[in-house]
Amino acid sequence: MAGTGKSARAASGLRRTVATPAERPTWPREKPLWLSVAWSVGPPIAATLVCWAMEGRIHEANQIMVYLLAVAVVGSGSGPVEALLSVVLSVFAFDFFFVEPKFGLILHDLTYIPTYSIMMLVGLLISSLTARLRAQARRAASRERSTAVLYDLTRGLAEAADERAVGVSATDRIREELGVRTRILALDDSGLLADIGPASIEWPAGLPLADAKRTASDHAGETMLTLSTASEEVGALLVSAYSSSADLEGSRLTILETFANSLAMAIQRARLEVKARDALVQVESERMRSSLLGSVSHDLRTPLTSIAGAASTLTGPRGSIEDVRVELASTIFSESERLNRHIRDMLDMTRLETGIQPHLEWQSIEELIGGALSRTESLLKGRQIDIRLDPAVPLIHVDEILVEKALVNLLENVGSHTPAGKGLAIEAGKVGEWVQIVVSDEGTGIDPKDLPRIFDRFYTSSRSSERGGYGMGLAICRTIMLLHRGTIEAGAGRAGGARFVLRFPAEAPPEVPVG
Amino acid sequence: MVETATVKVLIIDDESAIRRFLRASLDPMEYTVLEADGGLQGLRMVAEDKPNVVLLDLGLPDIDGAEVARRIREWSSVPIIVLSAREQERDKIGALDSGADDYLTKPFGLGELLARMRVAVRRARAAGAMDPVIEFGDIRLDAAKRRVYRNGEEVHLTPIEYKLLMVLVKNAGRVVTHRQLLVEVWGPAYFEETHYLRVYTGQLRHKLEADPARPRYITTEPGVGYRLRTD
Repeated sequence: MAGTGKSARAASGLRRTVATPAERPTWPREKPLWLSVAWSVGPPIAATLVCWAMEGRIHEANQIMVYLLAVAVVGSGSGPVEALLSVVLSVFAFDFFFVEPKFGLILHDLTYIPTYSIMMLVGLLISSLTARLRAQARRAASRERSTAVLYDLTRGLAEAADERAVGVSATDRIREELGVRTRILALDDSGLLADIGPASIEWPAGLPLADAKRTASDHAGETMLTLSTASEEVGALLVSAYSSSADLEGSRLTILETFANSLAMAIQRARLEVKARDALVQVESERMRSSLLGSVSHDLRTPLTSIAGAASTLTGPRGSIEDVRVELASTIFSESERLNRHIRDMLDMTRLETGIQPHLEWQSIEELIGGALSRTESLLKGRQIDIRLDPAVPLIHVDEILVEKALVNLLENVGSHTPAGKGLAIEAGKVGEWVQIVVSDEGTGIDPKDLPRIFDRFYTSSRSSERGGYGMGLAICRTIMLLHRGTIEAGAGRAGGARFVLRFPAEAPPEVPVG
Repeated sequence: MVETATVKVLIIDDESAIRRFLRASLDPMEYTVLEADGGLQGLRMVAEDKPNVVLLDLGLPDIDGAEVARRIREWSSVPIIVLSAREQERDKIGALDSGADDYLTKPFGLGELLARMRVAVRRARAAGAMDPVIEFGDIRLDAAKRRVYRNGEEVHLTPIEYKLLMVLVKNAGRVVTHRQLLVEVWGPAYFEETHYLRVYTGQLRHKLEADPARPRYITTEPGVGYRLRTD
């Protein structure tokens, strides 16, 4: 009892203060006193009863054997203290009930002294042997439990995406598995400790590690473990022992120390991963930039070349011929419109990428489609446009300018792939939880191998490159749809044409007074 | 409509290329072109030269274009047409709400500019006087009898629909911002309820337009407001 008393006290002390799911049978409880007494007294009493019943029919030596059996039972089923007590009780009971003079403890026959001594010795031997066996079994069980707890603790770490996630997961796990509060701090770039999990223990953050260690050694209630990997120190794990007098007992501290190693490695790994991700983004944006430059120089230069050429001819001698003048001036006009479209798309894309906040208002689908159609009127000239809107289609909560932009971009794309004389259809209605706009055409359609990439930036299919496409319009569409928690899909439509489906989440619009 | 007298146009824009293009285009017509390359000079010239219409760029180097519009409105009712780039959406609405009459998004064609200037100058000359009977396309509006006809047949409008149409008719050809419409039709407390407009302009279009999805008369100015086209 004396050996396990401290840890048992600490454990029960913690259990009192922790109102968490820490009530798990993994940690040994103190055995109640009545159970110890029962273990020490019960078997000797039983042996006495047996011997009493057999009195006169069995030899004294056999009675001694019955008592030894009782001692062995106690030794194997309970602790050394209970075994010792039962040995003493057995000797006294045997002497009291069965050795002349009965019902008295006075010993007349001295030949019993060796009998009693041997009884004592054998009893003690049995109990110490069984106690050792039990201790071994307990150690094995405890190791197994520690391994299981460590496994549970570490499991969450591998999945954490960044150090914050590591910190939050580790704090939760330690509380669940070990029933103690912790606060996890990591060294930031300037070498100061900063929280990466919830700050559940009062503690000054923002210190260098060395100062934090000094502070911790002054605090009786908290234990600080340094988180370090083979190469560097990454932070600190602060553990609250709940009451200033009780320290964490050995087994849990050992688990925490082992866990601290895994935690340090997890933090380091998370940091490296973030660095690697940043590097990848860097590479990606470099690639984007060069792709953008390539696209910009082509898309801006082509119309500029036409404009400059036409203007220089206009200022020359041929510029005075009326037919030439009109022809060149209309070239300048249409090419500058094209230039304007390119610049508009680039600006839109840049603004969308830098994360603009959509200005959400309730909008009518009919009006949005009407606005987009009037903006693309000249481009769609000569195409049969069939509009079918469900009169019951509700208002949608979107940014008017952005959604109109998406529709304009889509119509420009559809228009440029649909020759004059062919038709295109626009339908809108509520389908399940979505308000849906379907735009389909009888144009050249989309090559199935282009489908997966059609909404990528700067992706121009083999079919659109002939018209000098700039691969930005559909990417803008998709970005705008995503901003509105909507979707856009492309597929095959009627007569070999393309079909685009835009979906917006349907919400209940506010009331409008009637009048 | 042909203007008989010459019209004085003041261009307030810091870009000399824009001023040159406007002067070259407008000079041969019935317009007299005046130029200012900044807001302060522009304000002075509005006072001294008394132009008939002002073309105001929003991105001026010295003072904010919306501020210029506000200061002109303190003492003059000269029509102001704002010239803005696409990314100046908010400034544009600010300028319209603080007194500008209309706007044009750069780049614009001469045709659009002339149409806007014609509307603005005509409105300034008419100065509030309104014919009791207005006709545009196949629509006839008899303001005295509060009746609206389409192709000679009476169209029944609800009180709000009629009020909304009247505000647009009074500002025919000119953009009217959401705020202006909401305040005039529903009242100052409702200036943010743009969904009222979505519903009621939709209803008006279904009653007046041949193809409500591609309106001829009541057109949308995205993010800004509505414009009644009567030409």
